[in-house]
Amino acid sequence: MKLLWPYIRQMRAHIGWVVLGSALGLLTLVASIGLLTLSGWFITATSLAGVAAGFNYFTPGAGVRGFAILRTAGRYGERLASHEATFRLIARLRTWFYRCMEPLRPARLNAIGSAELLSRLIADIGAMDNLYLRILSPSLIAIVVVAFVCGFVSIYSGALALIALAGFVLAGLLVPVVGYALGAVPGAQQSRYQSQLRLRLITLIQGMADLRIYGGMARAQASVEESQQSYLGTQVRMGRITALVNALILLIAGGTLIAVLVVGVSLVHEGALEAIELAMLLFCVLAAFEAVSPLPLAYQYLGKTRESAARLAVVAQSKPENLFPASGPAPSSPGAIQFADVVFGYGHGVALDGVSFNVEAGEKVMIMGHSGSGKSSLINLLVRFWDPDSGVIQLGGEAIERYTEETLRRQVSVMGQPVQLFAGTVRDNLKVGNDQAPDQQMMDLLERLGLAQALDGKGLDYQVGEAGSRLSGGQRKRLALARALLREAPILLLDEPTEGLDRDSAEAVLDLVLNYRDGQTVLFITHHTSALNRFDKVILMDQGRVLEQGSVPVLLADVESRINQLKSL
Amino acid sequence: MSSRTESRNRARWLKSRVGVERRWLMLAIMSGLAGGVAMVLQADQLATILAGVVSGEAELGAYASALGLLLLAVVLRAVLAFVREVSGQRASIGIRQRLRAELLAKLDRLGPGYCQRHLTGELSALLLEQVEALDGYFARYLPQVSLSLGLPLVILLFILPLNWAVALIFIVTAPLVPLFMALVGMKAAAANRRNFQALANLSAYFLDLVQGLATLKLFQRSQGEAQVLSEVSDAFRVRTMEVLRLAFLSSAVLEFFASVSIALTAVYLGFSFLGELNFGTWSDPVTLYQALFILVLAPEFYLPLRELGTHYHAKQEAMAASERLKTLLDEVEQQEETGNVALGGAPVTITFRDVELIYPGREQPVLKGVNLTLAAGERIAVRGPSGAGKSSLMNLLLGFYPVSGGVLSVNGESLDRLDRDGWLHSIAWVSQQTTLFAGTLRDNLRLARASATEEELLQACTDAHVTEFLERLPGGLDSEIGEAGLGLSGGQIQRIALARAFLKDAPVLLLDEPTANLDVQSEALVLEALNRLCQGRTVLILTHREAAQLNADRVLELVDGCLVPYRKGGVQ
Repeated sequence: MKLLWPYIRQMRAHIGWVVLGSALGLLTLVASIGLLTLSGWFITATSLAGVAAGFNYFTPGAGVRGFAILRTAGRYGERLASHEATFRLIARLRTWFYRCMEPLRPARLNAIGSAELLSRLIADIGAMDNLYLRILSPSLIAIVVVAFVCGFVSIYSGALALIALAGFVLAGLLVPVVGYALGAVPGAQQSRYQSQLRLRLITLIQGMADLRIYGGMARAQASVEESQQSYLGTQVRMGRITALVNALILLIAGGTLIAVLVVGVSLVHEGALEAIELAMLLFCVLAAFEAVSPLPLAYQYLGKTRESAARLAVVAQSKPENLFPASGPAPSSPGAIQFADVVFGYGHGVALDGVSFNVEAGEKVMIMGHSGSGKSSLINLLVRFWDPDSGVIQLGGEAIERYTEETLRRQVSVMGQPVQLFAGTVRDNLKVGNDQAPDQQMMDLLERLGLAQALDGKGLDYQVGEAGSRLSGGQRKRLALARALLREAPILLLDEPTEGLDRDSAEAVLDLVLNYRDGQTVLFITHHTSALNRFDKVILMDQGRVLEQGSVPVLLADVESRINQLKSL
Repeated sequence: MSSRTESRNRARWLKSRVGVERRWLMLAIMSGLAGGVAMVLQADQLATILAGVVSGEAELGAYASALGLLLLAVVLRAVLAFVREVSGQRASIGIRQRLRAELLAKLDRLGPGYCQRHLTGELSALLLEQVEALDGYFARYLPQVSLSLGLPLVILLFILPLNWAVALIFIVTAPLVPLFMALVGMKAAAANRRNFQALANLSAYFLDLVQGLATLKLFQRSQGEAQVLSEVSDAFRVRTMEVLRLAFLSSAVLEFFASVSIALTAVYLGFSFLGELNFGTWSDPVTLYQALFILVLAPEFYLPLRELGTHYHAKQEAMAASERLKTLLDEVEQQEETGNVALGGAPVTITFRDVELIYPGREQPVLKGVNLTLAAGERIAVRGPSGAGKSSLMNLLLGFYPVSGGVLSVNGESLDRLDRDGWLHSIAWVSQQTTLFAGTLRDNLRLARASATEEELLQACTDAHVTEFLERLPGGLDSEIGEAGLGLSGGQIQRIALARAFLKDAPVLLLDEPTANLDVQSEALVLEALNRLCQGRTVLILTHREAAQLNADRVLELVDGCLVPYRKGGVQ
């Protein structure tokens, strides 16, 4: 329950709707029980009264009609109110979660894992609305209804009330709990086999070419089939438990009915209870089982919701580190960058091992190296998604930790890897970079990047799709580049902007980034040597170290330089 | 095509998947119906006892047999409910298992070329989640469709002989329920679909936001987005609730008829007893037994329809999944058919003559007129930016796609006439992404040559620089390298791929960016080994890295779908 508490607290803001939804649900159920109870009493009483007597049938007749209308209206109102409440809660939970997450360092979020895990978190947030709609509301309604019904029955007979209570508790509490306990082991197995199946499917799909050429296709297919068998096997076991729970609840409902009947008949025999009353109470108890029947499902959801809450807790309960000072200096020499003996690792191994270099304001610098050589770590440190383990980084003439977040961000415009775009139009995406940029400037950029023609003539209004899925890889890259260029910052950081582009496009990109803003420092990360002579400076990285650095003309003139060796390979 | 015929087609496709599991579904339906009969028995005995008690017989002993039958009815209902649930599950599991096997076979026929051109994550989600999304439809929704018709009929069958007036109330209201629900529902279904779409969009927006958080931070947008998120969600709520006000009418209609017919029945029965109403029975006046029997059954009459409503979501989900599953199953198979001509042994000469390739569903050819003769023992490197069609060359050579035009021949024999297994047997390849399979290192190497002796294995490991890290592996050659080659670096995996190629000792060697993603040191080791591996073989190298061209005899470049000699020195 402790896990779920933060989410329950979120309901307070919308408590009116929450209570209204549950109250109307309760009303519907009570009307439903009332309808059957009153009907049972009515026909038994009229049959005894018979034709002769002047039986007052107006009141019960009206009551029956009243319950019927109440039940209909209650159901409609309950659906509206509970959905209103749910939607409000979803909105609130998402905003709340986003606010928990936003101040965390992206490094922390990376520790949570891949995009796939992230999308599971999103689904988890979605699952939290079950908490109200499927768990809390039905449970509360069941408790109130059971109390109400037992109270009503006890007016006529304490013994019958106890029997009914026992039946409700067994069916609504004990059986679901037993079912939940029985399902714990196969449930865990199920998710284990599911990930195994996923892994083997991925291996098969990814490795199909290898499998064809080196053989082993049949074996890989057999291993997928074997995983599927185990996975579905656990489903069979889970299915049996569900079926057992359903059957037990029917058995308990029936058993309660029989017990009420047996004890009731004896009471009637002793004269302690009217026969009419017995008929009425029987219908009452019969109808009241409707209140406990959704509870097994609620328990299933409770398990899943708790798992979701546990996963979310990693983010929701993280304390944001106060990385940035509240006030700090302005850059004294905007555009300059200095690394002095910087050592850095992501917790396992060393990503940067004593890196030092110096970039003057306005210099165009190529950073070269293979993937894994530490290039991307440079970016992570420059934007303070991570901090170095030791060494000093200076930006704009000041130590990087002294800046407020705003001052730091204003100095650097980044195009990272992988490129992240947002659903919406091209314009929406470009405005992320600079929301003051006029359409003309954006179009001009798209044209120079050769992107304008690709947008079906829709230009800036072209919808890029979820995470830019309606664009090709190269187009996504160029759009992200345009976004970074639009932002006015003294430093431009580009991570492999020309990778995967054809020669002409790559050339156009280079022309653009090296000349777009006067005096802008450009850090251009790549693993190609071909464009080297267009840069002022090169830093050659390998395995977290600077292998070589210096002025491009000087290094090119030196036949012994590593750069020349690389170029001649 | 209108969305209604489309959804009808999807429903038809889903039903066609049932196949041999029909017997399980029938069992589920039958046990559901039998459960209905048991419920009638329960109502019958309950009414008997109550009517007896009200009429003055309050001696428990008089009801021994009735109580016995009541107990029997309760136990029967429980058992039948168990059978119904389990057999519905069985049907669903069987159907899904068969479908998944079919999808796997389809992927096999579509071949590696197809798999490479689609996102692995998407394909695996299709085979896993989308197939699982059919569960609720087959396990519950489909049996419930029959039961929502059958169970009311069973109840009617027992009530009609007792009282035609009550039967009439049921008969009149029952078809009205689906009718009204359909009337309300048609609009509601359209509204519901839009709502579903809006919700999906909202989730996508949120996902976008969370995934792009780092980017938003860099552009100083992340804090403002919380407000936007809350506004978007609110706008969504207002829109959706407008739609739902209509959609929920259908459940109100169901509730209305269920309540009103119970009320009508009770009032009618009461007034009959009081002599106010005098019709509806076949001969004798209404008895208390009949009245109680009817009243117990009345709520059960509408229950199956209501349950159908609760499974509606499962149906929606299955319909959505079926579209994507069907798309994969209907995908045109484009693999090269296998011929039966055996390859005449090494050495191998490969000739492309005006070879064209157009991928299915695309208008633009990837390759338009590739001409190349790869003489026996020759080393040729092909450059080109990603997306230029380098991998397409490989796919053609491996027979994963047939040529769309021109001729691709091996030792003068057209590739489509060659026995494919035999042809693949004479090729070794190393790609940029090697897949290792669950099992030991030895298993993975033996894929290349099952008959390899221990010495041969160790020799291949030495040739490919695997020996250097082999000693550090806990079990040597018998180390489990696990699913997806866990615990090995990219360079190590690549060296294992090389060892595999050494072992295979095939006359043709295909290399696809073999040193991408490696650090300088690993790259040097791999290149050195590759150079030795290339000796005496016909080699085709795809790369855009100069270092990886391995002193090729010729360097060509793919430009605009054609192979031209590479001009050095341009800007990459």
